[in-house]
Amino acid sequence: MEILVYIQIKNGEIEDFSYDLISYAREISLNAKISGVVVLPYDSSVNFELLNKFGADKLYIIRTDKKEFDKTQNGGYITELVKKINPEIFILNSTTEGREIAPIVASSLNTGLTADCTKLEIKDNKLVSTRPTYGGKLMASILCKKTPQMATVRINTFKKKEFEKNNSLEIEETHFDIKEKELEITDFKEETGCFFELENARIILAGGMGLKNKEGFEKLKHLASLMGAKAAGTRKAVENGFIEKKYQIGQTGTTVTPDIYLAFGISGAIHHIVGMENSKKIIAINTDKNAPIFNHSDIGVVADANGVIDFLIEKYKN
Amino acid sequence: MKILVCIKQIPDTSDVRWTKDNNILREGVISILNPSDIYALLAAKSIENADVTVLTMGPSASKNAIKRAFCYVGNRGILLSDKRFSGADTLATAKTLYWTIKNYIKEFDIILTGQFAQDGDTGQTPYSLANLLNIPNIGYVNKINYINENEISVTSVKDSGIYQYKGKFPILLSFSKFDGKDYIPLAKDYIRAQEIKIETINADVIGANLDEIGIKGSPTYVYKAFKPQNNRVCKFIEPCELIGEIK
Repeated sequence: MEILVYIQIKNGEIEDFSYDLISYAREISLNAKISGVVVLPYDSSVNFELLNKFGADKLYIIRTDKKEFDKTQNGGYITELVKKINPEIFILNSTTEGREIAPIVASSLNTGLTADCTKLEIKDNKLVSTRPTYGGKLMASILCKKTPQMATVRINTFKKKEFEKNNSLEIEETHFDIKEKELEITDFKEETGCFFELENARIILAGGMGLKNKEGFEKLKHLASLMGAKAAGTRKAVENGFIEKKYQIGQTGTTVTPDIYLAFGISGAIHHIVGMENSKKIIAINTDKNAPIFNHSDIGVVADANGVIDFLIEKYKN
Repeated sequence: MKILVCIKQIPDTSDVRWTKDNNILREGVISILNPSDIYALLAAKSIENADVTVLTMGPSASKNAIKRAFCYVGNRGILLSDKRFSGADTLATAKTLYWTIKNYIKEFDIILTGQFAQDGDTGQTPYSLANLLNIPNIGYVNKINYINENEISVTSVKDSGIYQYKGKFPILLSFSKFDGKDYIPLAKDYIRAQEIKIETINADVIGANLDEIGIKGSPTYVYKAFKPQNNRVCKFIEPCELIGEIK
């Protein structure tokens, strides 16, 4: 069995979550051949050495003659590679790039695709892709009748790990002539957003409507900086303009898995829970002791979140 | 300018309830127009001299979604309704839309969609549809910078950064937000919406390959569905004990 993994590159380096996905592919199928695929501009060079350590056997490099930031049309190139090598499974990270490329490849190959999975398993040589649906209220495990069986996998589903290897990374360079769609990127401004900021945070302080206003969120950010943590918010807080969209945690925002997640004035709507429930330790502060957030927390404090923030700011100042 | 807006009627996911055996209770759930489709409708409304068609697929009750859409914009409504369409995954849905556009609607300059449907949250159909139609598409659009007879320029916000795209017609755009003029439908809009006739068509009319639509044409299927697990037990403490827990 061959599992193909899409490798994402940024500024000449492999994104950390691509290592995570390579390791995940290896973890779910120790005997499979794990291959990476990367689409690279003709003039770019990347160090691929570590892929082997984290579980990859092989890497396909597709060379193109386009600009590095134009990733939107990689789907066409990858379709050609997949046709050629026929992997049983093809997985991508659930980044915007992965979620744009995947349906193009799947519809070109007439196969199925499961989006934004939080768990992959191999059962009887078939890929079982599990994902939250219905705004996180229901989990669905999905199978695919055709190959390649495709899935995009949510960031932070699995952390990279080293595997003992007795082979080195086999690299195959290839080129396909693709007629790209007529589309021009006239400007690009790199903005990493919190997507990666929050992803790597060890402590996250998230605020909900219990913080009442923008001032409450300013205090939350102040506390976060004192603690060396990152501030974030719920969908409602974002919709009310209390915090920027890029710091939204939940179903339609970012999924995070910090060591400590502090929820300030968050009631615990399910679409928020799905974005943080895999955090190591969850601490909730809310005035309503029946708030659903406490059902998903290890530690609870029944108190006004704003007051607790003031208290913590004083403590951390000293 | 001929514009097609693809919309979806979805169950209100904030209103999901459970049966005793941990299944989702589907009866009596309120249906709403998918929120990000409203961005696509607002975008369509912002384009001058546009001839706007609204397209959806679903049971006859989905006419309500089209009428809701008409409150914003639109002078033609098409409902794809046929029990042979039911159970479609994103690929079968994209193919159904593809045949409808190719064989029934035929002429269009721009297709506008929402980026995601809130119930399934896959965001796959717009990309699959554009790919089948072999036209360019831009996702995560939140603004139309300008549009003229020959081209359109949009802003797209992705996790890697902010992109400005320029494309020619025909093109498909999917909106994750709309940074433009908002619109709250008025009573007169609701009245107008009731007066527009909606065309209801089936698989034969669009010339679909019957093996590639609905559940039969869907490569993916749900093998099991279950309620998310939660094993945490909350220990309540006093605010002053909090510091000791944050280490």
